[in-house]
Amino acid sequence: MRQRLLCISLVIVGLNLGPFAGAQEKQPPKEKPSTAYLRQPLKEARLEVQRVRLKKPAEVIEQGVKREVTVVLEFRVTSSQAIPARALDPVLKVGEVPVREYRYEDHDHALVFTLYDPERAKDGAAVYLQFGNDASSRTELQSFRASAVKEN
Amino acid sequence: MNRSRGVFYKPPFFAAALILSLLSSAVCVAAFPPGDDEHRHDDDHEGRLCRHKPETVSDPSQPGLHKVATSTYNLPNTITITATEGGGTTTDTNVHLWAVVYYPGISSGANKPVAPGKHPLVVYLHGNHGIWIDSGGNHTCGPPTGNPVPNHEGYNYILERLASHGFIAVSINANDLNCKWGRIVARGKLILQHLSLWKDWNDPTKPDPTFHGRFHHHVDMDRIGLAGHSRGGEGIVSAYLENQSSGLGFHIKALHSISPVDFDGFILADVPYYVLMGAADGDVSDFQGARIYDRAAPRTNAHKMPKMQSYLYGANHNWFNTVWFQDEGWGNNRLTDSQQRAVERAMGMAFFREYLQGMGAEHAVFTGDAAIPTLAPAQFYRSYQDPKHLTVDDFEDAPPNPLLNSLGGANTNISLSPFGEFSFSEFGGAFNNTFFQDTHGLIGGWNALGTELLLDVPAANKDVTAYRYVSFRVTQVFDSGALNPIGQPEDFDVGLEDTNGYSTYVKVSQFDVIPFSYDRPGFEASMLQTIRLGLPCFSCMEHRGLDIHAIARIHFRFNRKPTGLVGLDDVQFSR
Repeated sequence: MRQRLLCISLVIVGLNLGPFAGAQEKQPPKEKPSTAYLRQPLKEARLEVQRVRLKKPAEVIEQGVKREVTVVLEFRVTSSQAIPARALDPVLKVGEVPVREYRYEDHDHALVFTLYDPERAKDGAAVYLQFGNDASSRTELQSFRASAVKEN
Repeated sequence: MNRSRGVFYKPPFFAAALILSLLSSAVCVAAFPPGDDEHRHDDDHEGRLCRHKPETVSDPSQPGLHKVATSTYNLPNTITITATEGGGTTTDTNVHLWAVVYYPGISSGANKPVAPGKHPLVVYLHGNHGIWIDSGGNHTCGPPTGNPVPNHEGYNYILERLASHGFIAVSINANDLNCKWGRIVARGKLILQHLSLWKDWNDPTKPDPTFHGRFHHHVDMDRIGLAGHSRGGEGIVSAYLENQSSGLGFHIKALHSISPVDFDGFILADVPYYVLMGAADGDVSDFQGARIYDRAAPRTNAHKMPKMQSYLYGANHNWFNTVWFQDEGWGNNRLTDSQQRAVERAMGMAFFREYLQGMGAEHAVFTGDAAIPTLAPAQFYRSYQDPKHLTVDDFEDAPPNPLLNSLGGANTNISLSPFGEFSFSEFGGAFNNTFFQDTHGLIGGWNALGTELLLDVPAANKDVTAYRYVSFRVTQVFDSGALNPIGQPEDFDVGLEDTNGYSTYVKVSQFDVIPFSYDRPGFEASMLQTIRLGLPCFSCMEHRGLDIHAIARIHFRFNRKPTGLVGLDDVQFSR
């Protein structure tokens, strides 16, 4: 019969340092948590664009270069649902231009994106909103029409 | 013809093997049922299998000996944070310095005196989420309601346990940085501001209108740990790196990210790092924390830090924070909120106890040498890299060359198809669209038994007695069932061959599981995990032994399943 050799390593012990066994998380009773459907397009989403002359020039620093901006384009995306605040940022793509700076408005039913270089928005550019790389959240919006930009 | 007896026949070497096995945290058993005999080599190199069973250990997060006291602070003076990130600069004014504190007290309750001694400091930071509670109980970004979301209180479940084990555990509120683009670097700066507060609160020479000296000499500023969730999980990385680059002098000794984002591509090189991610994450659904893990301990500085990762099947993004009550999770076989928090509580506790309190036994829950049965039914698959290792191949050749390994030795492909080096990233170049990491690896497939991958170990590296394991990362590649049958674990043999031509094999499934992808329909992930095979198991069980002073080759022999498709990375000898 083949000899069988048993090799046993050191035993890992000593993790049970506390005097209390089987501790459970203490939580107040609560209703079943609600569900958040993040990975889907925004419902009934619409886009409005307006040119905004800032009351006070904004100082923009990009790639280490500082400049003052007085006129911006604001892309207002509205939805019939509350737009979630996710770990992933919403990004508005106007053609190939990503617009990253945003603010929530209207009880989270609107996201307003600010483009500090209005000339980068090309007439006819496709526009969509997406959270990070989550393609399932991609919300297609109306194309950018320069003629439809509202003046403020 | 029988080969000459291996070195382990000789008493001195046998003794050495036994000592080595005792030092190892593997359990290897040469005994295997007769039914396994068919798995031996068909030549006179009799293959031998090992069994490995992790030790079972108690949950490290069981309450400790200390009474737990609590406090909060929300300083009257706010700060302005200016941060450069992603090519732009952000400025946030009126940022509050607000946090909850759990600490070891001389008695339980609010604002009690601190227990004698110095206590390590652990700071948690939450991520992006609504900041106002509206009349319907919803968490929103605005308008302000006067009822802020206490995002920072969502980790009290672990702060309390940390305090009971002697930590001063703090969770910072970052509402003033939420509902805005990025703010990762800003989050890091906020953490550093809080560390400055704690430095002063520990110092009797500094005025302390907040705690009136309660923490004087009680904060061990030489042992600081940071933990963060979601954007906070990357914020702590930013804090660590800024502390280094700006010479701030905080002694941050451990970083723990929970389902972090990876907006800024930071690289950690010299601090223990642990990332926990839920496989059912419906927010950071591309598992960005895996990228931080992959980049950490880079080639140029690979030996200065341990790194570890847990990929938790069935866990979502939100429920690691008790305040984030909504279930955004995505996938089947889900854990409950309590179940997934139990994992964070146990593993987070184990991590900080090991790296801030020197509890070495906690190490084993990260390497796979120990399991915590009370966490069942949670299943989590780990990655681990020890700072002491020898990389045989990380498959990072540029241009890709799967036939040359990182040590300069040859790799030999015996009938694997497909076969090649690929990016394991979602950003292009991957074998298919199921990869979410930041590394390159080897893809190998087979549809008949007898395929093999051999990695030659150059003579200069042949003595591996300084190591305890053969280690590699592996994943089943999700291919909709073409080569990897749906729902089945993978298995194959790994062998070591010495310069005498003697070789010994072990079956991976006797050590660990190579699971099928988590069931997330339509978006399955191929996620690498680490397998560590104890060197004693290759050498100690034989009448004839393997000479681990003279290893010539590592074999991956795909002979356990008739078809398969795997990704491999980071083949190492390791402590």
